Amino acid sequence: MTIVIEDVHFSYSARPVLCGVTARIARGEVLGLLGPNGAGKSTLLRCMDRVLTPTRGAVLVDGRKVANLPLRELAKLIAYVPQDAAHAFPHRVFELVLLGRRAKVGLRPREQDLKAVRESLSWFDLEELAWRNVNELSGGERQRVMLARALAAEPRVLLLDEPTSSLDLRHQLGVLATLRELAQHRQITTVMAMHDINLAARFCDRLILLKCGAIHALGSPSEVLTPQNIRDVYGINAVVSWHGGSPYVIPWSEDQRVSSRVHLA
Amino acid sequence: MKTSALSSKSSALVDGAFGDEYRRSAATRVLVLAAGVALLAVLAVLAVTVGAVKVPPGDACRVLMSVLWTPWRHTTSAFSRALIWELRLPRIVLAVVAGAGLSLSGAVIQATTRNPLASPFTLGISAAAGFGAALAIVLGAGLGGPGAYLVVANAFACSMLAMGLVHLLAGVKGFSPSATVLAGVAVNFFFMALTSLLQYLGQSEDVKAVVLWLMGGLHRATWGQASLLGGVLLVALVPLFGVAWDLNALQLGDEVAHSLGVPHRRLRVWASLVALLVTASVVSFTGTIGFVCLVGPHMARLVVGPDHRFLLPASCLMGGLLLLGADTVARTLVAPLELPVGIVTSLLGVPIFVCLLLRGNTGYWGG
Repeated sequence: MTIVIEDVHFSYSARPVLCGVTARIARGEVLGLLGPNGAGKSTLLRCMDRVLTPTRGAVLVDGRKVANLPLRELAKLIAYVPQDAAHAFPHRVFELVLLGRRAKVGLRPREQDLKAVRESLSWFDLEELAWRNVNELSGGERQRVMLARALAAEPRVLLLDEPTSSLDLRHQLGVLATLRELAQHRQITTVMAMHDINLAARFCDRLILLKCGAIHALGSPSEVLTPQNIRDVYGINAVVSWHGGSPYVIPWSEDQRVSSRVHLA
Repeated sequence: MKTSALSSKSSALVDGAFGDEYRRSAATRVLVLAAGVALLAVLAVLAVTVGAVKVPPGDACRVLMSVLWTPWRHTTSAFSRALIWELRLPRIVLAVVAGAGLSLSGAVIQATTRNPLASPFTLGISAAAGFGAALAIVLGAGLGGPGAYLVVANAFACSMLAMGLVHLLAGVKGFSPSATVLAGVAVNFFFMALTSLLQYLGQSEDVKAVVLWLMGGLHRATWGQASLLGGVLLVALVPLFGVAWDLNALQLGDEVAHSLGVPHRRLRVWASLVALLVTASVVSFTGTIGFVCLVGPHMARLVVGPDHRFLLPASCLMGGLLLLGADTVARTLVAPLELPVGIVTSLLGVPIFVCLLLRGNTGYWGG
């Protein structure tokens, strides 16, 4: 689905977090949201899934306003994985991933529900863990369970908040490659907030660089990841080199002007 | 993770195995529930036969079966018929529905607050009911007719008041789980203080009556109460069972529940209202029988797991079993005297609970 973000503003009580974000995301595109802590990445994702309602502006999927969709309809289209999920009581991995089908399932899961769950588990290397309790798993395994839960819903749009933050190197590459492939083959429009600039550069079609709730740069990784942009947004000096066709950023030193400004403020 | 994870190398065989495993675990849990029903029936028949006057099990069965087939009636004595129908059976049914109701509401409150330590009692319902009852006993004031019904009506009215207060206070904070629990704790202490004040001011006989009420008991059981509470339980259970999946989704947090299409705030408000209403109805008749609503759901969870499609009926069964067992012990252990059922429930339930906890490998509390 095509997503249009139209001049979205959001504030928590009086503190503005998003100040007029506008972007257009094509069907099957993988878009990375980059920016320092508190830049509004998570808030933008929450506004897109209507967890939060923008104070101004709107988000549209295929021309329909997200704000006007019935909740169940929304759940069928968009799957969202927040940074951390609650686990009050221990579910087994299979049951938890099956919960992803909630918008589609009746009281008893059907054959296609179980099939979607199994498929989802296999994408994230979780078949072996299917009958384990979620709270016996490591943080990275749990993160993959939550991704499998989201994809079991067979969504058209996938919103991920730091999907690789707890993963080991091998699974970082594996998960992102899988997500990329899913976006391509199943035309799942994917938006993910990330901290690892280099992974984002390799696996995203386009990047948004957010600064203080506004888009500082938007475009292909090579357009966005310039030393100038990185200094402006993160306040660091970085070397940008190239490897295998995508830019590669080596953070070098804190930018003195920016950090002194931060300390004064 | 392999390159091209999508080119599903899965065979139909693997698909089948996963589905089978899932179905097998569901079938096991259905069997466990059926076993629970059978156990409850056996325990009920056993409870009919014991007491200050013993009834032979054969007689008891004939009296019970005479509902289905009238000729059995003539083979039983009028005395055992009266004893069973008028005294024992209403009490047994009341124990089962009260236990089931308390345990069910505990399971729902633990789900809506995502807090394994929460129960309708921690949300102040029992304290408020206790205050209402104390008000009626000590001051003879309050709503409703004379005598016992004054106490019942008062207890119910006060628990409704507490329920309203908790929801109002929590509502200000967006009805978040922690706000609900904290509001409940505040309301709980408020009503406990008021009850203590009444006990401090009251006459000694009145105070004794209040203390007895607070310990809980089923000796006032009538068919009217049993069927009323049974009706309340059924009316509550049907819609709650209908949102079993949603309660499961709620356990993953509000944001995930929302993205799964669950209206989490609305669900939390109405599900906990229904649960508290059930508790208030039960407690108004039976007094504060603790333990069941906190531990019943935990015991059920240790047996069938956290899926509410199984957990809600299992909690009902577990609560019914617990309270019926406890009440049977309470009225037979030192017969013809009776122990307050609230005391026995805890004394009997704690060892069972500890056993389940030590044996269980469900990974509860990080175990």
